[in-house]
Amino acid sequence: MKRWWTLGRWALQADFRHRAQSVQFILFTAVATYLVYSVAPSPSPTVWLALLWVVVLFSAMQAAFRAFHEPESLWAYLNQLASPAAILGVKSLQVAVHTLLTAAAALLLFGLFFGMPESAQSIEAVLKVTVALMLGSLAFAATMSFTSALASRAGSNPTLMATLSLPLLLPAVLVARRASSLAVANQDWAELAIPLFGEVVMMGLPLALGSVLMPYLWKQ
Amino acid sequence: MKNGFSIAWKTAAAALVCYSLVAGLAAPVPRLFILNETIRNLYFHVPMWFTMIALMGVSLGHSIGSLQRPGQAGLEADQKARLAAEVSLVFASLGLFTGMIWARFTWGAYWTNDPKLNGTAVAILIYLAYFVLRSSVEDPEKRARLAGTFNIFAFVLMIVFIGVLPRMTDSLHPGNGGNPAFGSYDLDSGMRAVFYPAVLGWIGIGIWIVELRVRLTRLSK
Repeated sequence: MKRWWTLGRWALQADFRHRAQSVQFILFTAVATYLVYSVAPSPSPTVWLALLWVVVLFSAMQAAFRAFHEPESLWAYLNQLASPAAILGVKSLQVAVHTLLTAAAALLLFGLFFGMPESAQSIEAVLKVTVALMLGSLAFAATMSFTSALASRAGSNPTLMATLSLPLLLPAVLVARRASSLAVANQDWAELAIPLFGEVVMMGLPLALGSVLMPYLWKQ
Repeated sequence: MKNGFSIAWKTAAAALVCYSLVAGLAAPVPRLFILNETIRNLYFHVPMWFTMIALMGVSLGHSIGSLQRPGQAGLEADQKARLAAEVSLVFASLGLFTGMIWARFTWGAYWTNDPKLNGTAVAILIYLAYFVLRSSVEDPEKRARLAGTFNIFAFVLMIVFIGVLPRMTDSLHPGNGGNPAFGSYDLDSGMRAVFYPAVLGWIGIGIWIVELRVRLTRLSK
């Protein structure tokens, strides 16, 4: 547990030291949102949601790639300090925090530029959309942490990471789309429960699989 | 003894496929609204998916073996995993092709936003990504390790996707979303007598093709 704390603290310190890079996800999200706004200023609720997920997905992918994009010498040092599963755990947490931040920024910016869809104007509806978005983003983060680790072992190629991640993310995307569509339509929590649970499963499964497979993947 | 068993299952697989081809085209089928004669596609389209999943399972088994065994044995297992994945993609393409033709005449479009079709697209894309990953690593041992871990990770997510998610949403496929299932009243005993042998036969043929490809690869070395 102490190693987890140490690794986590280092990740936080590294983020703080390179805060300009950490802020770049938010900047990417802002630029992407503005680009979308200038192309389609008044989208339908379905398009609004699709554009939001696209922005979140690509911002999160950058965050995940960066988490495992470290010099070999640092990995050699970290490997002596902690187990591969612990490294994946801490890095997944780091990716999750970045993804949640970008998702929150995207929702805020979409609300600012486009406004919330008509059916999702109430506070309760906004809360539902936020919960669906956050859980979906965590599901993305869990899958992309593992594929980012894989891509870093294969030579840190961002294109490879995208190639490996996108097919694996489709299940999470479809579950997240369903949950967020119901949330945007302001359906009851009871209706939302199953898709939200689906998002939790799509988050837990890659984490569990990743922690089992990481020792094999991380072997030198 | 081993040789005798090998000949027996290969002969049985070939015989079952021949039987299903003939019976699939000639045996009587239930007369159903919209489906009509296209119901026969059950004998040719669905076994392709069963075979694809079975071969992906074979590939998964070899990937697990490659991670557990060091050295040459691990590399050989990785090679088998690759070959099984390649053959499974051929069956996936055949399943997709037969399904698209059927969909055009039954649903009016080659492709729809159906959870099962999405599952197929995901499965094919995942295994194409698997080959991209393999081609981007030069060192054979490292390649075996990375490809093996990806194969296991991807297979589990894919099974959850194609097995669980379609049940959460409606599908145009028979048996889903209120559409009549082949398993309820459409699939009478006559259809079962052709469908199950077709599935078993095609899985056998698929495994045989993988075995031949493994031997061919060994010979070419």
